Amino acid sequence: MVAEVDNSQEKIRHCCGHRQPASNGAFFKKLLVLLLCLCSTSPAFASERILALAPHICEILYAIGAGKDVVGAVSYCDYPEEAKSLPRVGSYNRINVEAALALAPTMAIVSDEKMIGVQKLRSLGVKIVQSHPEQVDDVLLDIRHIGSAVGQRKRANQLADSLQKRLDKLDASMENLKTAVFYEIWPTPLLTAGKHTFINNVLQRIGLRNVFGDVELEAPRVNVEAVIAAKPKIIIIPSEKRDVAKRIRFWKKWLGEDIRVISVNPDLVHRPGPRLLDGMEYLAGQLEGLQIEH
Amino acid sequence: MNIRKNPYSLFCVLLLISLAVALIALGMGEHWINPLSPSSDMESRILWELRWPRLLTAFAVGGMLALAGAWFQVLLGNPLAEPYVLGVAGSAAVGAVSAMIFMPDAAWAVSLGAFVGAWVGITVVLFFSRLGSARLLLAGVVLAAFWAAVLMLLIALLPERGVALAYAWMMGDLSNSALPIWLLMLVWAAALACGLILSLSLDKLLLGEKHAAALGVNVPHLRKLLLLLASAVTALAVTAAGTIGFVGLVVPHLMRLLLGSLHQSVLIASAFGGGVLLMLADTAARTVISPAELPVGVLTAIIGVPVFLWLLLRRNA
Repeated sequence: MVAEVDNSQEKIRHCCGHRQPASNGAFFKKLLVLLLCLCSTSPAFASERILALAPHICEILYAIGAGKDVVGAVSYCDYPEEAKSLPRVGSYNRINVEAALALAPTMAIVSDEKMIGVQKLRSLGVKIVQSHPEQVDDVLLDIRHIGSAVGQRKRANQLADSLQKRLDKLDASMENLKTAVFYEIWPTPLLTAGKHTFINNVLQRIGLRNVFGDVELEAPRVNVEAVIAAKPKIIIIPSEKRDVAKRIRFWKKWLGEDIRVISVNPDLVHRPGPRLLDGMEYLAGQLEGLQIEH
Repeated sequence: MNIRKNPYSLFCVLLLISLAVALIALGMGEHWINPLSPSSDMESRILWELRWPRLLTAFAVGGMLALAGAWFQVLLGNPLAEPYVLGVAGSAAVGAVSAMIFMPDAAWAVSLGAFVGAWVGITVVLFFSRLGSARLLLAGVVLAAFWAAVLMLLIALLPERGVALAYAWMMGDLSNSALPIWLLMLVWAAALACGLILSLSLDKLLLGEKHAAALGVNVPHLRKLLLLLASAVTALAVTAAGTIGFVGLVVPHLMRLLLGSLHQSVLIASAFGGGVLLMLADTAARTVISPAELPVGVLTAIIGVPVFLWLLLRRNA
């Protein structure tokens, strides 16, 4: 629907641009039609009231200038700063339909359509748009997709283009090294990322090989022995609050003094949103300084 | 066979079986390592710093749970009783998950939370210790339901990753015991010793409280002692390894089926049998879908149930 409105607007501009007014009367008539069209179409965007039902969706919306249209969010939508004051309508796996409806939304952007409450919202006439990027490239596609859904196509495309440029630069600078890395999601129990995870793809894109990247589970529990056998050169810890010094001591004990441990803000690499490239560039920068033998 | 009657030979036989199982389990892992002659320095470190402590933790925790289960079954006069029946595991889980919520970046907080939670649960249960068996059991079941509800409430407040961690804890994890191994082994030995000292009184209690009193047992005193002892042992087991089900319920019954109901042999056999079952379950957990691991609590049931059912049928025939 959004796309149609957009087209009609363009057609009208087109007409006006190419035909010189035959008379003043005709010109004013056209101008009037144009003004009427603008008046009746532009509020269609402004009145879109959006629920951002995942942290990365919230980040994308603010990054493409649709932040003012966001009326509600879920827990952990904590970036940018303005998003922290949004009313909350649910958590990661369910929404409270009543609280959501109280905000009179016209559109809900969800990560998973099966999230409890989403079908109810749809049946009550709220437009549902899905964004669940599973790979790095999908993030850029989803930014464009969300942009056109909320009437911010231009800014979304600008953002996606600039991210694409940074991604291309990153790709070009990556020699195909495939350095073995262990991604320590959690130390006790020791959890890592398996095959079908977003982070697995992120690691691949920055020239790393996840040593448990062929495990079919999403967040497999592994033991230290398995990590030793997999011989990683680098450990990545997605947390800045964890006691990293302690983890470094632990891994040096088992993997030798040569092991490198990098910590990174998890929101930058786990959320498939506009800050992803910040996280990837940060990791790539850290890797550059390490000079690892292969 | 006289090992049924002679506790010393029973103890020695079970000790040998446990050592044999431990030796085989020690070799199993990511790669087979011969425990008697590891080929490199790293292999011997893997054996003695990674696998051995974990095996000993499994043995001690399994034995403690089985002993606690045997005690609860006598105390409550109910064959369905197990270490977690009075809600100790539930309150420990509430403590552990609270720690995950309020101190999400400190791994040690989870064990502390579990320990504190377990003792809160025990303190509440002790208020009901003077009730008769049936009412104590009822109070325990209701308390367990209460803790389960609080647990669900807390889990609803956790972030997505936190939920995975909470479930991982609830299904048991022997790789990160916050308690030192020597402490666990000491508790195991002390629990077995206490059990053996009390075994005659327990046999009398099995006849019913009136008969036990007539035979000179101070029943209220014994019940209180038993409740405290079984709960304390359960609290330590849960602190070390999270909630591991099934061992405490089935191992005592298994041992009764094999050895008769006299507590001296049942308790000795449970202390070893629980340990061996959990060592086997944890070895399977480490190796079946390697390099990933399974939750050990799932495997105790998968290994234990068929054995138990087979014995039940055989006994009946």
